[in-house]
Amino acid sequence: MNTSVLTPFLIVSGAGVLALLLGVLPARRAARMLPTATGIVALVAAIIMSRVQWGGPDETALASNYLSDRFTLLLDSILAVIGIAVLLLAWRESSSADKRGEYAGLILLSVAGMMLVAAAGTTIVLFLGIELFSVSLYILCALETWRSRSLEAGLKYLIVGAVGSGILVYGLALLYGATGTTVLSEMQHALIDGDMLRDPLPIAALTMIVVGLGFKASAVPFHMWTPDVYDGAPTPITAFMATGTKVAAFAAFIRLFSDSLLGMFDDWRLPVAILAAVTVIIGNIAALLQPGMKRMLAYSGVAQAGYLLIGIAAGSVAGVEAVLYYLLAYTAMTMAAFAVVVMREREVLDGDQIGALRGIGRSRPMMGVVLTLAMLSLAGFPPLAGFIGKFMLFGAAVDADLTWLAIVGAVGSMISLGYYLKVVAVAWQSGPPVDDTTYRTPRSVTIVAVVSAAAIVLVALFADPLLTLCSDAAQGLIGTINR
Amino acid sequence: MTLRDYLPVLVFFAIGLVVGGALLGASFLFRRKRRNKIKELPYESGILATGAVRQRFSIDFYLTAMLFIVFDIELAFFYPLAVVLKSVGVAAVVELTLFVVVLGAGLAYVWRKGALEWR
Amino acid sequence: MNALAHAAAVTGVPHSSYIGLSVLLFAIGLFGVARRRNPLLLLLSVELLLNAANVALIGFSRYWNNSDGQIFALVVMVVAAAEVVIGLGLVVAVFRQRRALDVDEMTELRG
Repeated sequence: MNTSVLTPFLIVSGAGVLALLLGVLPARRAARMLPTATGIVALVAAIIMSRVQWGGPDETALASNYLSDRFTLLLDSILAVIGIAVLLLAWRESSSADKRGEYAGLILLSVAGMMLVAAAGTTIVLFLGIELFSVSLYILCALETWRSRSLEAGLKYLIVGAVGSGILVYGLALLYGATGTTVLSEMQHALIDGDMLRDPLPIAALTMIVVGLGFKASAVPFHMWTPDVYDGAPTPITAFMATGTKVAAFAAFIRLFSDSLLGMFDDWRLPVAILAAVTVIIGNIAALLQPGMKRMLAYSGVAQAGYLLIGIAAGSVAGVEAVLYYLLAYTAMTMAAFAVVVMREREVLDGDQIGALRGIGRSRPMMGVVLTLAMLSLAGFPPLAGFIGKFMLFGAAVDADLTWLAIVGAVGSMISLGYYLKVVAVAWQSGPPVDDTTYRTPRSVTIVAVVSAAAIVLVALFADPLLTLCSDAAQGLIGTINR
Repeated sequence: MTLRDYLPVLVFFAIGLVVGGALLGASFLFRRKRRNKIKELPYESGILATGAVRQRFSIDFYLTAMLFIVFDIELAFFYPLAVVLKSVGVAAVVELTLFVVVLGAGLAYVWRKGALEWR
Repeated sequence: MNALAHAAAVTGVPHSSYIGLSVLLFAIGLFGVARRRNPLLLLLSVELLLNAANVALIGFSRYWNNSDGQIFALVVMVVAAAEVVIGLGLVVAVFRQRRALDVDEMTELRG
């Protein structure tokens, strides 16, 4: 047991509490500046700490509740980067003027919860992490209390999310009933020893866990909340939900399915594969029909969850490796897309409509390039990060005898060209640009947009070392169980 | 523990539903139906109710009650810790202190936000 | 004292009763989530789901004779409280703003 491995999580959660307190300082200037500054410093520190711990051996802390392996450290870094980006996007949000403490504090607590999911060694911590980030997000969605759409989004997300949590925790309870332990690494043996592998009880547990996590990852048919909530929430928070929640939900999927329940592979493989196929198809078709950029990105996020599920369904090291790499790519491209939406939303009325992006490539080439890169990568154009990720995911599926699933994924990508390319076309369209106010884009938003776009290119350019990183992380997980 | 072990439970609830339903249904079928104005009153042989039934409460009640729930539930963690405090030792005290500090931070936030004031 | 209560008094509550109760609670909760439209009643149903899990956890904890389930149940209790308090807070905020408490009337975001 080594408590020092907890530092990334402790720094971020501690900073979250601190930021909330700093936000209510009597000095108004300090109350405005300090929470976000604290958050960024803490997240950078968390990245450095996970970098420092990277080479070391796998450790457990708090009586095997907290696992610090390469998987944890890699996801900690990704999540911290997401946190920084969201803090920067929310920096000049008009709504955040007198709520900086809440914004920064809840974002940090949410990131801490996501880190906890990645590091979960028991189902208890897994559930606790999921709830910590979900509960923080419910409030973040509703933070613009004067806007009824924001409140509505918060309440809807809370009710749907709570139902998902309820089903998930019931599944985890049944899993405990089947195995007699909450420790993830002991479940495999407990199931084999008790001759429970084909028993109805763990299968019922499995079903409920898939449903519960399906809600969190917004997989079809548990995705109905996604467009409404994405649409209603403040846009920086939407960006956070689209990236962070997805990463955390798939961390939970990997910890549970690709690691501790891998012995039940035969039981969960087909349901997860079908879930993936349905999610890809429905998500892509629904995205075609959306006039709003945020709603389109919501459905595109649903479809992307489907691609990621393909990697889970493969149930192999290659599958997990592909999921991790695709999460990296997905984070970069989604963040870039949302940064442009955040910017546009402040400049024009109805800035979240696709039409509002008309001619942006001509009036502001840099933003046009960012948007184009994000869209092409999401659509999976070679040689961008999205293409490599999808290639790996589909390849893992083919290797796992799921060729049909890979074909479904490819067809889905084809459909997705319809809406991604439409945005690109609109962005470079000539004609009268939508009324451009003299509003200057805050530098923080520009930075996020440009850095994310650069990341799309870099993740593709340095695919080799990054894939080594991902496969290190994946092997640390699955290496413990030999199939 | 297999699913078959649950069969008695299912049968039990099935019997419960059937018996309960049968009794209620029987009284519904065989009771005398006689309605008049006096019988429909909220208190058949009492004083007539006055005023609106749905009184509106001040929002402060909700706020205070919600804050109470949160802080009250946290106590659930104190009790098990108190039971094992001796056997766990210093680590337990440290963890409890951290826990209380975080709770205190929450209280300080609530206080500064003015949620404890009765408007 | 009927036969069932008698058996319980002698041998303790049988394990299957815990599971039966929890399955029933869960079913009622799911039914409520599907049927109800008032956010307050939805929150109530969600609470039933979480408490169904709690009953199952405690029952299994007794069956396996270890404390993992009880610890889990404590965590679930606290999480449930946090969730419900935030839910109530949001309901109050929505109510103050528009005085309508029916999720079907929340049509500003078309689903």
